[in-house]
Amino acid sequence: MSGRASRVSRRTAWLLLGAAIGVAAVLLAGSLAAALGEVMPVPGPVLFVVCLLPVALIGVVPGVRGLEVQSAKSMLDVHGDLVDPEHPGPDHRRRSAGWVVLHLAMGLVAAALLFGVLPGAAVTAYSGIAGIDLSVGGVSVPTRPAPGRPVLLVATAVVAAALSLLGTAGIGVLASRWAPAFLGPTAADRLLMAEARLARESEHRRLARELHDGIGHSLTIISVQAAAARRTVGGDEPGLDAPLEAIQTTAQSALSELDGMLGLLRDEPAGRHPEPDLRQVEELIGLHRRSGMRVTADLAGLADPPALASRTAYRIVSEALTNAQRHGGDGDVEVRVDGTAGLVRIDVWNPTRSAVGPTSRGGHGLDGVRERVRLFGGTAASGPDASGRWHLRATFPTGAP
Amino acid sequence: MTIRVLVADDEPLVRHGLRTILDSEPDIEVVGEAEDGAEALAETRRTAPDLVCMDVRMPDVDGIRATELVLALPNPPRVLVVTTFSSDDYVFGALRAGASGFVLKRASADELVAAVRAVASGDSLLYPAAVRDMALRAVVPERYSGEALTVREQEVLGLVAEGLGNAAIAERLTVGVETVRTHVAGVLRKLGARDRTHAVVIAYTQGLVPLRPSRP
Repeated sequence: MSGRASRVSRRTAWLLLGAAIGVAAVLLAGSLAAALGEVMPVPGPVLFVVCLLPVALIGVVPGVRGLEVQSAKSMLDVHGDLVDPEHPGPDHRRRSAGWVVLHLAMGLVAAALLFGVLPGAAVTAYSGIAGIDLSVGGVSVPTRPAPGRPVLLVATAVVAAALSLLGTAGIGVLASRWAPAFLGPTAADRLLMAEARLARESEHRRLARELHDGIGHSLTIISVQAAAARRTVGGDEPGLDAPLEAIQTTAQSALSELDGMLGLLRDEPAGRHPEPDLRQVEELIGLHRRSGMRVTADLAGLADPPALASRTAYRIVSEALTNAQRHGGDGDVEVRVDGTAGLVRIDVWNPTRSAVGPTSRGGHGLDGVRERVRLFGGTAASGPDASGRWHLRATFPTGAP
Repeated sequence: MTIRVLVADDEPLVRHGLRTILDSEPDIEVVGEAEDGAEALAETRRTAPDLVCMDVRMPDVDGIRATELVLALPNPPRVLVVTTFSSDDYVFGALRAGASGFVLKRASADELVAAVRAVASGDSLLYPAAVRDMALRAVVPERYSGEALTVREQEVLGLVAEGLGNAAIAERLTVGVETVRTHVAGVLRKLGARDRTHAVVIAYTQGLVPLRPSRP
């Protein structure tokens, strides 16, 4: 219970932080607008945008994203991946700016609820109970209320107070929900992370190989030679067998430890189930065939592109086949993958079920394809071809020597 | 009858150590040595051994390829893989290529000798739990598409995979040893396996025997 209370109060503090900066921004923007209004008449919407720009610019200031990430983690309890990239790209800047605007806006709304509606409700309730005339902004509450009025006033006040508290808490919840969308990793970040993981894995493999070739090699010689020595002279020289045995068993146990270590290195979850790449495309097609789809495949140009490009290509084929499975009509699906000359070209044709074609739900998958391909500096397009089949084409450079 | 052995390992000290250990047995004779896969093939041709002790990791032609090449010869010897580490995927690769068993280089002299004798006789599967663990790591079982096994043959194959010899299987199924031998022969023929180890490897890769992790 106390955990929840402290969570709510931390979120509220986060909102008030936004409100504090928000008020400053509003004051600044207000004076700016007033000054502008004196020089020339400016339509309202334009004024709004002019005021919003400086606020959005706060998000682009170096260090602000780091602050927002930290505060989202510690005050909003966002435990997912939030990133503060060393070299933010345009996508990061856009999202940071958006998040700051949202932070201030949510803060201002919360502050209005807490410092406007809540005190207002208290005063209203008090006036209802005490029967005092209160003039707020020219609206006067009657001194002698009619019978029943106090109850109505108090009830209204209680409802308003509850709504403002609930509203503040709700905004806090929304903030923690939305934080990952703005401060989380972009698709490009995820690719970078995948690349880093790949590098780490190959580092592990290299380490394993070195252990095998180096220490393992020497220990093996010690073990085998000790065993051979025991066989030839150990039996005849009782005093010699015990030390030889000690040498042998020590080498053996060190080797078992190495063995276990190698097993651990290799059994890391990521290493054990590496993401599929182009080499598994045939398997993938087989899978779809077994599910009843008729697929003709031309994989003649299937070279061996770098790992990341290869995985991307696999995902694209997989996405296309899934879409064909979901939305395609009867008939052959045709897959062509060409991976020569530093370029991967993927074509997938599938018959459509209706004249409309796979647009509505298939779009999501295609967005993913487009995004992936764009990261490699390539292009993706899809639509009906001359014969009425749905045609997806993705082309991208493999991006490595 | 002596077992004639060829020792292939790129490390001379390991090679000589293995030779010393095996030569100290009255029924084993080391007839040759090789320091890589190509030489192992040439020496196998020249000396026609009963068994090749094959290091899996050798320069140029490695143990897997050398195993394939040696087993493709007319009247091939059996291949016993010797390895530094049990967690080496090359070992299962060599077993898939038709090797009859594996043994760790760090094994005691008695274990090494026992492994040579077991593989030469071909009557049992070495380290069944380790073989299953390797298969578990290396294999996504495909569907078996060969001639169907009878229920009894399935049963026998499962027990072979557990490492049981013919006598033990006969006892378990309360049938005669001769009957078991017939079933094993049937299994080998249907799977196109060269020996029990090969049959078990095929059984794991084609899903004929379910792959479950061994109890620790």
